[in-house]
Amino acid sequence: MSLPHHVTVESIVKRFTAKGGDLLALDNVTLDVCDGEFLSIIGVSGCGKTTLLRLMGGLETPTAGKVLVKGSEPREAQRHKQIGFVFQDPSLLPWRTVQQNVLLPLQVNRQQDAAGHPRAQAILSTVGLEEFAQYYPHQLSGGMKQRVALARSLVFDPSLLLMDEPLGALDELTRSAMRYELLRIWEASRKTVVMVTHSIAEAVLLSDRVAVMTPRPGRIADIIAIDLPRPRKPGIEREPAFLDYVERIQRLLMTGGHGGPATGRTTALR
Amino acid sequence: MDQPLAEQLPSVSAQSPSIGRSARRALKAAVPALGYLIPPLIALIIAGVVWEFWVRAADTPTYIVPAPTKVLDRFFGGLSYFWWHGWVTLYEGMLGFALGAGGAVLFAIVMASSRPVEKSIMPLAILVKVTPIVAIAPLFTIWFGFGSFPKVLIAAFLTFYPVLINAIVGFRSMNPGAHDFLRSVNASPAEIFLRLRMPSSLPYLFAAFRIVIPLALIGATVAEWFSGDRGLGSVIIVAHNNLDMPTLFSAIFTLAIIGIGLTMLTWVLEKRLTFWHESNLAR
Repeated sequence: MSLPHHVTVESIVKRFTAKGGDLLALDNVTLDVCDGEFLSIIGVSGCGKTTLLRLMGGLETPTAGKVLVKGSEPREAQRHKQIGFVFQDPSLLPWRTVQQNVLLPLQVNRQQDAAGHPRAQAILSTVGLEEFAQYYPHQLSGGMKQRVALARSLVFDPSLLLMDEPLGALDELTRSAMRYELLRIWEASRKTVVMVTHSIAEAVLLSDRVAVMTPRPGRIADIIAIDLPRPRKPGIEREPAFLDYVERIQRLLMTGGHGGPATGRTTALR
Repeated sequence: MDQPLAEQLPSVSAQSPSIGRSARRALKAAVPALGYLIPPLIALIIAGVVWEFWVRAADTPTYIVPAPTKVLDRFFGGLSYFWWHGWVTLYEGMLGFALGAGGAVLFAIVMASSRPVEKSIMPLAILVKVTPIVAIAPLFTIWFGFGSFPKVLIAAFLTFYPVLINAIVGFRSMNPGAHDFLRSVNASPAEIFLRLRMPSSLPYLFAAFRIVIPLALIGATVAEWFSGDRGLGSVIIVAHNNLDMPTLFSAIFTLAIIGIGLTMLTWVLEKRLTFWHESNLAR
């Protein structure tokens, strides 16, 4: 891709020291995320995909190798509030209303100004929660809480959105509705997004590229470009091209990228 | 003069439903409170009546067990006396509580942020906790005299340890995702403390306060046994030495009222400040 790189992950090694012995979570992972692209990282549980995401966001430091966000350390991007995190658990503050939760990142470092409230309200209507501004998190459903978490990460307009299984805790019906919600919001904002997911269909539906990871130690088996037209509309999941991608990723996940019939370093569809 | 009266009538009838509504609303709000108050009150009255009859039937001397009517007579006869001494004990206990809890929270902030500091301070805190307070009380009298200060200090000592333990646990029990989020938007450790750790610890702090506030009152009362002529503790000791049971029971009664008041105040504050916590949401 000729687009400028937003995130550069270069020969990352991440080792966790624990009582039971060392764990090599990531072994020599190299990955570039382009400006404005939607990249998904998919893999089985424990393959290190969350660790990779946390490294990109500066929540972990690599054992070896380096991570750059717009050419500098992730910590620098944090300092300029350029990173928006969304976790599987919405992690809202239960003593704050929806609106106060959304205002939180603006209040940090005392950056909230007069534009804060209208901005929070606008973001809440983007995620369809404008009527719930004065509610407390415990009064909301799981899907609504996750939308608040998304609004909280959009309100300060970071250029990079890192999402760790953002829909993972939702039931299937809410989840499929939220996928299109996410798609709509992203297509309107065009931020650089890196999303960790378990769901192949979710990855294919949303992404420009999908990085498939294999576990123990975590490596990237292949990166697949999803060449489906945008905007992607409901029903796309039943199209042959979509299903081909799903099948291809499925095979990569099962064979771990070694010796299976559909492996190789090609990133294009057969 | 018929006209104004006729004009007034509709306005009165228009007003009365709203009065009725607000009265009904007040009643509705009062009903749960009454539900909590009436059953124990009935039990208390029954116990009092049985006690009264038992004392009269057995002809028990007043210096062993006084009849409730005698106690009430003494209590209401010396209301200002008991109120004044009660105020002294309340003041000593609550000042001790404030100092002990405040100190414990400050220590907990340091200890929760560093394991080595926790390891070096915790044994000393346990030492303070395991030393019987009655062993220290006479010493405090020698050091600090007969005024309020030694009583405040003993109440503070009793408060310190339970608040310290709960505050440390509270400051560490925060949602890890919320912590990560705050870190990712460049929140300083102080901001993380104020916006996340402190509110997260409130349910733990209140659990400690519920234990410690009555303890602080006990501490102040016991400390008053040893020295001074003020406070319900000294009232109890003097009454005991004179076998003046109605006064002794009235002092106990006053302590119980203060204890109930403080417990209710804590309860209301807790509901206000930790309404979001699981323990208050589960119904």
